[in-house]
Amino acid sequence: MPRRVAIIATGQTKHAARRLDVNIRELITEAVTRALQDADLRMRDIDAVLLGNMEPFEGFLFPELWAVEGWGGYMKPSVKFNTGGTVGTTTAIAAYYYVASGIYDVVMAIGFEKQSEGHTQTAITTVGDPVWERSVMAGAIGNFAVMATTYMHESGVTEEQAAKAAVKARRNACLNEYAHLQMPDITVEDVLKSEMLAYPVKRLDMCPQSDGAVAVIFAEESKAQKLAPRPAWVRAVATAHEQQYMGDSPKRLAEMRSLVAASRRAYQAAGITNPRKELDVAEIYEVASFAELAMYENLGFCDRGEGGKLIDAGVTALTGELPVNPSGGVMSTNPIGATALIRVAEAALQIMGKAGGRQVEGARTALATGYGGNAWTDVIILSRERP
Amino acid sequence: MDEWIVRQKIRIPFRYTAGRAISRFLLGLAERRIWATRCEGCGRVYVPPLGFCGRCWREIAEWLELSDEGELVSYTVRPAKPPEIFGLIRLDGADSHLVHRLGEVEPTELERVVRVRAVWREDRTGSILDIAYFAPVRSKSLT
Repeated sequence: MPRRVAIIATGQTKHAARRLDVNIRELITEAVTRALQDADLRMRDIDAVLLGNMEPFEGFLFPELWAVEGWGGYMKPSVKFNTGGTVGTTTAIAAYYYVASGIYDVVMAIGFEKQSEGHTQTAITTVGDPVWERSVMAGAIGNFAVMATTYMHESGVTEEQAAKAAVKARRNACLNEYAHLQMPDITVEDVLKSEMLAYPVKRLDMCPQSDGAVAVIFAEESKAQKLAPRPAWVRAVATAHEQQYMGDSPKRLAEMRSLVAASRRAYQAAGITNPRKELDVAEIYEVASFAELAMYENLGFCDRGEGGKLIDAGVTALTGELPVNPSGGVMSTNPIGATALIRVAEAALQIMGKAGGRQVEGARTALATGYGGNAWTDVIILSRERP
Repeated sequence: MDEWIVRQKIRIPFRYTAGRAISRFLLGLAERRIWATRCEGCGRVYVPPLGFCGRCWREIAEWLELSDEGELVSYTVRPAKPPEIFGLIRLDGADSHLVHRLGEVEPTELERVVRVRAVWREDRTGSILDIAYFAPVRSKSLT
């Protein structure tokens, strides 16, 4: 039987388009130091450190070597993860496995990206099929745009409804001191009038590129209870993979087969039958405005084709029935190797009651997701109640 | 069956923030000065400098200037024309080592080289290459 595991501490950097004041090591140290302070721990109290990063974006290969002084890996058991958008949740799930296995008691998961140092969209092109996609269309924006067009046809979602998700994200971000894009006055009009990147995706529909790092500390039951006044218990973790080539999955955003599979596995493990009623808050890896609405449907927050109505009704607003991304989400902050772990950290902050101005009152059950390479999904469910 | 190869070339530009400690080090090189840091926890003198000691997990605040002379600890020779020589140099007072080029020396002499000094470029830009190479400090045994 796996041991009970909880998140006991988190630490984030101030995320920004360009953190020219720090190098990669220093950026990571900023997050790690804050996580250690949050739990009143020293580095020697950490049994193993797991590092998440998408190396091609910085061209800084083997960051586990080059940045070891900054992330606390010196002479410690450690592994690096590099799984695309899911890096952060892969690292979190691995940290959970490390502790649940009984081999390590206190494990730190770290995610970072310094996107200002490389050229992300060119690096993402290398994710595309080398023979077919790279020669025709690869990269994040074009992929999402094609999927968004299909999704609009399938669900009847409009560009205005998608824009509402983009507005919600940037306004929520104003309550999050770590968020990158904080836009208190943004309107649906602003999103609709922003530069067209690839129909139907406008600049303000997309996530930014950010520099940032996050660290999350996982602990076994007795240490978690000793070290954290209100630990965020890991109730369920799940991962599902999908075919990568878009031609094999033409309704990818509308159907999101890997998100459906992973979320249903996690709900079952956590005993959740009605996610909209039983979850108190969700931190999802939404990447673009259209994706957020599609994720509502595929996470079972509403029926198929109802994603647009959910945002219209304000159900997912900070004060709504099921707040989604009180932190401002990926559309506000996107240091890719950290992004999914930020979802986990933010979900944990909600459970621990430490989310400040973005706190959802009385949050007891929280969902976090990671989404990578357009094709695979991680889902993590945290709760205030010990499982 | 024919084997069909798809050829591609992808160019990616990078720009790296040097960081607090290395920025000071590189600016120092432009002035022909070598800055190191000393960790108050373990006492190690780092050059290139670290602003944070990963062994002790603590900030490093103490700066000191080193001379541009030190000891040749190891080397290798690439058999080009002329031969390219690379070495591991421990500057006097340092605990870490610089990887750099060696010049003004023949490969056959290297076993006898103990002391080396930096040979600086005239046009310095704040780069590790502001030191053109390290050259042997000539003693009677080498002349």
